Amino acid sequence: MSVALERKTTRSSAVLVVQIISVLICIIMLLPIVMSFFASVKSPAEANLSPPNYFPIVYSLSNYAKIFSYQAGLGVYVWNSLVTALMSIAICLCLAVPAGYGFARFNFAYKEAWFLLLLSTMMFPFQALLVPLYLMFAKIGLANSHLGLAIVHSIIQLPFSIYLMRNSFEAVPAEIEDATYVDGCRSFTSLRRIMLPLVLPGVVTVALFAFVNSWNEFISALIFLNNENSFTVPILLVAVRIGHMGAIDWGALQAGVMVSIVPCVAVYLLLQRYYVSGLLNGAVK
Amino acid sequence: MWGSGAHVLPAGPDDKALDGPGVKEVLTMFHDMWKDKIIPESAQQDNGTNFFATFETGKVGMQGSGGFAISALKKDHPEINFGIAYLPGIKPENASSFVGGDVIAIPKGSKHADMAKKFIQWALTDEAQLNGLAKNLILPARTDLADNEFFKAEPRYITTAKAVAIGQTPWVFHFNDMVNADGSPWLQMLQTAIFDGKIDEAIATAQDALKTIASN
Amino acid sequence: MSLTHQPRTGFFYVLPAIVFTCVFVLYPLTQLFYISLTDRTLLGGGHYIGFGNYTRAFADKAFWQAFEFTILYTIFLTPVLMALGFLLALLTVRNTGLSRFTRGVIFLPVVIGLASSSLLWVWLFDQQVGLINRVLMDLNIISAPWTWFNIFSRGFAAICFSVTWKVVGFGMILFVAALQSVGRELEEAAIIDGASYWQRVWRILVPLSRRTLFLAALISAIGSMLAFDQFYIMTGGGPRGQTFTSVYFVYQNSFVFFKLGYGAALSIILAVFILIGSIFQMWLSRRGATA
Repeated sequence: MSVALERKTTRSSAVLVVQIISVLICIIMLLPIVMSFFASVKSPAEANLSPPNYFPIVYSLSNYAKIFSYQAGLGVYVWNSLVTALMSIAICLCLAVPAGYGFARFNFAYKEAWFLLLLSTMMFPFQALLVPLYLMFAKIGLANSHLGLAIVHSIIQLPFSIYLMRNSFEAVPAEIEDATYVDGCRSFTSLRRIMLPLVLPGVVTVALFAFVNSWNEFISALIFLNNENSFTVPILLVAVRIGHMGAIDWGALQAGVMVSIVPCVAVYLLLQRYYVSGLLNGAVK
Repeated sequence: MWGSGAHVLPAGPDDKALDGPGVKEVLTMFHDMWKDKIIPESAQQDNGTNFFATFETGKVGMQGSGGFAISALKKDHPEINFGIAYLPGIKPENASSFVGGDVIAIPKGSKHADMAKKFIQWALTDEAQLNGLAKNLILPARTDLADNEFFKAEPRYITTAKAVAIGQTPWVFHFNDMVNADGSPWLQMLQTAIFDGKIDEAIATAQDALKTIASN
Repeated sequence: MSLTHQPRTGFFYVLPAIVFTCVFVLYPLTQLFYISLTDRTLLGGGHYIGFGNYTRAFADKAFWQAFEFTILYTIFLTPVLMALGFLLALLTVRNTGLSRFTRGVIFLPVVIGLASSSLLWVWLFDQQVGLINRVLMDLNIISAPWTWFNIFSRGFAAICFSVTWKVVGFGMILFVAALQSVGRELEEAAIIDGASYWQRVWRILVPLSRRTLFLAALISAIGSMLAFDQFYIMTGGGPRGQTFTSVYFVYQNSFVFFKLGYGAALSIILAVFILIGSIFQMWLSRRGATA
């Protein structure tokens, strides 16, 4: 009996330690973002103070005002980033969902080889592909377009998406499909009606990663877009960082960082329920 | 270095690099300033994005910059009382400046080369230089217009405009690789000489590196 | 896997992805190989020079210095990320409210862009306005603000710290999944046999998560070998050009020095090394898994 009691007290003290460490870690992880937020709402002069304050003495939104009216205006950039991201999500899903289904549920010749081929693009420094891609796009008229950029983003995101979808489909027990097949379902109907709802968490995860990847991507955006009105948010961010004639405006920079972070965090919080289980189920075979 | 008469960047593999009076003296002087701690610490890691920030704090006495700094300082830091001088050389009578930043070029194979030439000629007329540039407190490219009515209100602009006449422009094909690129030989030379104190070594290494780039 | 479907139909499902990859990845790749055999510049032109770029690359000291640094960075950071990710997974593996919340918080930086994260951290580590120096001085650990990016060890530490903050959540989630799929019975049997917690971790949980560990390590290592953004934004290759990574070097040659042909050759050399490394790592994991 006393062993059990001893075990119980060590258990509960262990639980307490775990809780304390968890809270500490949460604070450490969140602190950089929180401090960046506070920097963004300082007045520009205060944000450039050396040594710096932790918290603003005077709150001010002028950093955000500067960003909102920067060059073509923040609204334009956000819209461009959004359009590109949505197209990239669409392309990824249209390609990865069927591919995942095919790999998971069928057994065709050289299946593993095709799978490795599709995943191998992850190993290549994609920055190197940008040059031939740009030359190719220029010939087919996709050079200065958001669709072209979305295609580039999808190239980066596709291997991971296929991997995730394959695992998601494999996690669904075969019996469910067998039952429907007995009922005379063809594979496509089965995919649409039965499998898709079951792998929805995986789909959402793919969409989330595709969104974040596209929203934050900088170098391809810089190369493929020539028109100032087509630029995306990361380009704005780097422009702000390069600073005003040799002096970085730290307040404006952190405001830019905040603007760039907020949509990703929002999407993550909204879809967290889906994609956590998607990643948990889908990522480990 | 230009002010002292040095020839800095090689135009080709047979050209000299970092040659002439002033190269070693300037680096030595900056290194002495660093040893005396009159160069701010942050200069060590600056790669050009933040080089003017310390002057704006009011704690630095002298800083190299450009004409654009005048209006920036007046707007953001009206409390700083500043003056303008030419970049010096090692002798009291030496002076120099950097001219550049905005260029017009006609690409080879351009279909409208004549029109482009006409535009350039127009851009150099009094009308364009004065009403287009000087009026907006931008330096005119023509040095004979340095002393113009728009600048009379702010004589510091006249000094910068006159500096264009004695300034130099780096005129080598591989300027980007040699100077502007991250980790360029020029930057490494400055850092090694000024902060590490290895002046002769820095100059020798940079000369080799610059010549190698020039022969590409 | 259901055997009642026609095998060939599966191929048609996979076909769109294959076509996309062929058109937008494999074809540009062959173009890239062709460019690497020329001395093409960003401004056009260029003649066929055979393997001239490749021989030049093998003699290029700066390229190998960048490559060595990239390897050093990968070898240092990957175990750190794996260990930390695994420990955090152990911490949050239960499905209590606090654990799930902690997991969510740790994962949060993963969804921020690497560029945004680098800009955030370059601000925090700045010598003049950075809060890291402020905190260290307030805690009396240092007496004057440090310049983080002018000394190799400090710059390296700063980068590793910021990258770890950003990506550790990804590994953690993979490991949580692996840990949760280990049956409770095994653990309970070990507890009855008197095994302590860390013994259980080392003898049962780690071996059973081996596959995930290898996969996560592979993804992480490839990511580190291809690192670019954080170095471009935070160190600019400094101090004295010591933190150039391979991809950074390729970028410089292609887009700053305009030497597309040479940059193409460098990319291909890099890709071959990564491929060899990945195959080696996969072979290791096959051996490990069956041992």
